[in-house]
Amino acid sequence: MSAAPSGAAPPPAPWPRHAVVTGASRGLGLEIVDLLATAGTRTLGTARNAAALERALAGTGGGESSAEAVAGDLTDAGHRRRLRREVRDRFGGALDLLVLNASTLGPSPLPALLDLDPEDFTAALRTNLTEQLALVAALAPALRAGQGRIVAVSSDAAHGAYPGWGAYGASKIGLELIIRTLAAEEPELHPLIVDPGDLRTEMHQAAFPGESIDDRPLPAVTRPFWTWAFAQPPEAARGRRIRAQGDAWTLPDRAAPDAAGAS
Amino acid sequence: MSGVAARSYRPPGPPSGAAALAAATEPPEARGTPADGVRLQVVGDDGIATGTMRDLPEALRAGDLLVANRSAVRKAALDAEVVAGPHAGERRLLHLAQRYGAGVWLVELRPDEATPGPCRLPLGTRLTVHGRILRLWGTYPGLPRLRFAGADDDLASIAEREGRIVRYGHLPRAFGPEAYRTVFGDRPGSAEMASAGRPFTPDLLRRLRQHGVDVATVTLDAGLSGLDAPDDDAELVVPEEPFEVDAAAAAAVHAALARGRRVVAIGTGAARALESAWADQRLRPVRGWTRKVLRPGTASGLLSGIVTGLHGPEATHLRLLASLVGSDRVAAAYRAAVAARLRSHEFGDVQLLWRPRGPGARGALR
Ligand SMILES: NC(=O)c1ccc[n+]([C@@H]2O[C@H](COP(=O)([O-])OP(=O)(O)OC[C@H]3O[C@@H](n4cnc5c(N)ncnc54)[C@H](OP(=O)(O)O)[C@@H]3O)[C@@H](O)[C@H]2O)c1
Repeated sequence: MSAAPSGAAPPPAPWPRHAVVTGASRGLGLEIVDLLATAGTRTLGTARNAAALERALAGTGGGESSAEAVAGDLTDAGHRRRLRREVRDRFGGALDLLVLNASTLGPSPLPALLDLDPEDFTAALRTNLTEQLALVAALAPALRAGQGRIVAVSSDAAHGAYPGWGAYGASKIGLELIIRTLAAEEPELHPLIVDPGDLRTEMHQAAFPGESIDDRPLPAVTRPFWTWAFAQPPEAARGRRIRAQGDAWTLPDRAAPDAAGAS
Repeated sequence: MSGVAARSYRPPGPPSGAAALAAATEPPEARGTPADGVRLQVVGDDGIATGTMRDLPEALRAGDLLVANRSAVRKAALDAEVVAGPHAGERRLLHLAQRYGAGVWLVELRPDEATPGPCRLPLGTRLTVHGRILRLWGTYPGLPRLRFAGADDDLASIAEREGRIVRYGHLPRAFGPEAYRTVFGDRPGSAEMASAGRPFTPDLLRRLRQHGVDVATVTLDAGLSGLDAPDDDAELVVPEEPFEVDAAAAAAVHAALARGRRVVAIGTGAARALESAWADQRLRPVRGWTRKVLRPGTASGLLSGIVTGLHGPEATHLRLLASLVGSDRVAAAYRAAVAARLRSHEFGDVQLLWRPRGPGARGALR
């Protein structure tokens, strides 16, 4: 297998030493992967388009230690098995962080529910919900062997009931419930839900075809959030839902038991 | 996102007097004045009066609740030297602005106390700090002066042992940690002193209590004060800060508000902590990190007033005050402060600013 890159050592734990980030070829995923690689975390990034992924990851890590590409479709069981093998071979089977970032918006322009092709609805639920859980299941043993932390990227559309966003929103609210249930069932996986807020990305543009989205910030605006989140002990935010661009990143009360709930 | 609307907000012009204030260049004790002997400007509906901090009880009523910041200053300034690359051997003054977690810091690197930068060191640069390695690996979005950095060990204890308290160019010499103590500060965490608490002495607190004034505490660990605030705050960025409002503080504030009493923040940190914990018309016990920027139109109205030091034309400070008491009142206060030759900055004089009374004042100030 490929030799360990001679990158910089990451900060001490709880900062992750080994991470997997899905949807790493552009947008928010690329931003997270670049942050991790620059900080010295060995990171595997995924996306379907292999050439685009390789190109994007080559530029990460400030030239010292770039993230490593494992191209594939997260809805493909073969790809998930391969990821598991790569984690075993490259990370010695110990994974500290899994970021469930890749997702699909569904058709663009966004159709109203009664105009929605049932196939498209099923596809959105598969990519954003059921197959996300399958990926968690594939990597759970490695997460248990490492520090174990799962970050699921959700959206305000999970709660918004926005016209056109029904299928996507349903998949994301389902994802949130799964993550919160996982936090109760498998506390040592330390699952966390993050709403990144509106970002100027391809997906956001697809939601507003032909409109300018220049007033939305670039994904870099969330860097301080990820820096903070990855530096927290994994149990600090377990089961929480945090808005990266919100007014406050709140943690459970010191006195209160670990309350798993949406905020 | 709320951020979109907020981004298009234009601030009121900063009070023109702000730049004309002279900075206090040493602690009051160094000029023979006790901590509570600094001057106090009281600004309310009845006009502006200037006395000393010892007059504070007379400006308050029995039942008023003061809310102070428990965060104490930590040593955050260290000497650093670049290890390798084109800048090898260059020395920098390292300011540890905020600790995000073990070995993960937001830092500022400057040539010296009086010169904010620019930092000029590329990402990936390694510096030695008292034998430890610090590596720069990120720029704070919108604030290139601030860098994220990782250390091979937690620098907090090294800073406590070897570091100094952050000092800027307006102070010609350094002062020991005792100059930066406040009676409220029992949780080290701030890169800069919560200076509004400095003029409170045990004796003044005793007199306030006799007068029927209560004191509650919250926590906000201040980073470095903003020097980057642009004239037009379209791009105003304020880095997040750790804060906590515990159950006791929330209960004290609720009890005061339920009885129609006034709640007064001691310092902008306490105000920011309170405003960050306020949701659905109540104060929630909460801890976390706040990113809330207070600007006109955003304050909840829970605060009736604020005790604060005076500062230079730092837009963030004045904007926060304007959000609490209105920009007209802030402008009038600063004009009077210049006329009365009040002194600014951490060792200077203080103001007690009251929110204007009257219909719709609560939360409706623009
Ligand atoms: N942008 C926003 O305003 C916003 C707001 C709230 C939440 N979010 C969430 O943030 C996350 C990232 O969104 P983004 O805006 O950065 O999207 P984006 O720019 O479209 O990027 C999506 C990434 O995921 C990959 N991807 C898509 N489907 C995949 C699959 N089946 N298997 C593997 N990789 C796949 C894409 O590469 P390939 O196409 O090559 O596979 C790409 O790398 C999503 O979960 C999204 O729901 C975004």
